[in-house]
Amino acid sequence: MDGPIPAAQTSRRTFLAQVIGACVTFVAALLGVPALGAAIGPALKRDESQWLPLGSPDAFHEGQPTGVNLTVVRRDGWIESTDVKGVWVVRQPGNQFTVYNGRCTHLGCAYSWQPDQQQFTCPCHAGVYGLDGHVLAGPPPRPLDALLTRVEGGQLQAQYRDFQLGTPEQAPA
Amino acid sequence: MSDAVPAERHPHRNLYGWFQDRLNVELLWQALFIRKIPFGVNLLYTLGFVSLALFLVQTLTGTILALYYSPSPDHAYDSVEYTITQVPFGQVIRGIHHWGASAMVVVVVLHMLVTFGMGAYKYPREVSWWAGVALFGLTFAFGFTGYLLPWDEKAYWATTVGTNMAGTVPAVGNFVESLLRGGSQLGALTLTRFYAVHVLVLPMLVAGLIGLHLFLVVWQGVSVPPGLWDAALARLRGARRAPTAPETELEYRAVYDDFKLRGRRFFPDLIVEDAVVSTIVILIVIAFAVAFGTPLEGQADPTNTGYVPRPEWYFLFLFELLKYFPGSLEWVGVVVLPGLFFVFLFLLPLLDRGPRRSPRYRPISTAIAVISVTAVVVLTWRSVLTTPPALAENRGARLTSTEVVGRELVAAQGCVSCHVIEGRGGNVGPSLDGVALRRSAAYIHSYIENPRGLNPTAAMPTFIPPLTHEQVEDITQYLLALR
Repeated sequence: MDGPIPAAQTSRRTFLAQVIGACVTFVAALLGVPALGAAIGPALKRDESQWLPLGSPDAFHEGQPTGVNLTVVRRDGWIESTDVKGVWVVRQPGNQFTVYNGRCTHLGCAYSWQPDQQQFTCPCHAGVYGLDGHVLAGPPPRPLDALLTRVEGGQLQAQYRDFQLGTPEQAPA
Repeated sequence: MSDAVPAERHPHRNLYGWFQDRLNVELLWQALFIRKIPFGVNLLYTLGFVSLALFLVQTLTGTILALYYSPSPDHAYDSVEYTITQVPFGQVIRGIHHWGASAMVVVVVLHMLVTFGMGAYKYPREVSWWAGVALFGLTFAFGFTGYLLPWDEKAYWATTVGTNMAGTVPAVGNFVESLLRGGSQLGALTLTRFYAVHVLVLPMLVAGLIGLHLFLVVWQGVSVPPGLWDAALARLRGARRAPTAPETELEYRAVYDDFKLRGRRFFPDLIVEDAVVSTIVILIVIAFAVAFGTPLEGQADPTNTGYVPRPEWYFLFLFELLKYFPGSLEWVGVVVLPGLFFVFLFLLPLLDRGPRRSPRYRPISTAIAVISVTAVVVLTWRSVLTTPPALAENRGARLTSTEVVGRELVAAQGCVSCHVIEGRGGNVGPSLDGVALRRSAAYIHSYIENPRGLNPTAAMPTFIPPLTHEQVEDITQYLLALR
């Protein structure tokens, strides 16, 4: 058919094959990197915790826990939903703040502060907690769940989280 | 075939040897890649390969877009916005898909014109031509189903007009229109329908037809440039002038084999041309995606009376054609004429059975091609000229005093360098026309105040400072008034 192929011909063909390889590699990298980045990136993104504003620290007074409703924006891709979550803000001596998740650690009912008894009571199964969150009576398996707090820009903020209910250990829900 | 098993065992007992002993991959490689391509093949022959390369690019970018797309009117727009703002490289991938579609139309049309000009649809490549005509039509179907998906104003209104066109046909019109829309209204059922067709039906059809098209190209070999072919056939017959009778099977084989003998090897001699041209075209597409981005208009708003719908540029000729047909005959322009054009393309190899392939010797078909191309170009051009420069200018007419203050602040802050506002502006950020449909006042205010607070990857700068809360509220009120 072709007869013997001259050496110049083979080196030319090797070169052309290399050009093809270079083109394929170049295009594959140019498109592959963005494609992989787009496919993998959002999957590895962790939910960043949001600092939610509770208002000025001066609005809270020692010995008088205050119930606050927090608006939590939940983002699931392009779907956004807002949830209103109740928390209790307790001002401790020395400008310290404790913010409790507003759900009883027993079965998740909303408890409330009884000023005359100076304790939190849960209406469902008569769980009772002290100002420091510890269980004083009733079925709750662990103290009230405290949230992370900080004061920033003259504003008290907390990170809202839910925890597993009915367990002695505090574990994320 | 017994050829599939080689006569001798491969000397090396490695993985390659294992496959070679079973599939005779060496013979396959020889047959597919080392085959000779006829003498005379030039750069115009790379257009088919470029179409294939672009189809692969569209498949890749489309798959990535599908990962972050929700085919529901509630979420389609937000999901596209999410893709371009939150997904790494999302903006550029959507850009490549958008411009890739345009490039695909250009390259497929050029490929078809070259094939037409070369008379390559003639004996024995009629079936190849038919597969090509179908692929040509499906390319436009991809475009039409694709641009509804972002569910922005253009998507909604262009599809409203597009599906209404079908409805103008007497007798069957309403039925076809309902079939296209999945109901009497353009809505959720239309979107899922277009999505399914765009990502399932069309890709399968196109992949199958590409398979057939490619198989035929390998099985039959590509055509020889028409001038060379006519001359060679005349020479074979000992005649001076171009052939006057179609070639017989024996003549075809003799001439084609001779061209093949003098030709080049497919690999690497010709593939290198395909690879280099494809790389350049893909680079151009990426450059367009990066330089011009991809428009995402305001979310579809069926009550918007100020919007001027225009289809994608490759449908503008059809849009313009409509203007020349009075109401009751509209369907002739939009359905009958394009339909006849497709019928003509399909019948072409059967109608034109003349012996000569060179376009100068095929006056009728060449004239039809020139007239068609000129008509499409002129119609497209006229349509571009008559498109209003942007949306209505004096939208500020009925604004409240607060909104007017907001409008001035928006102008002073140069918001339009990134956002479309009142129909014009950049596309770095989302369009703000119709933002009231998507966002609450509180959200808009908070976003302007501190974009990163709501969107950690926002490119938008913080506006408090330099602005005050009152000023941001004025802007918010103005933005809410935008339709």
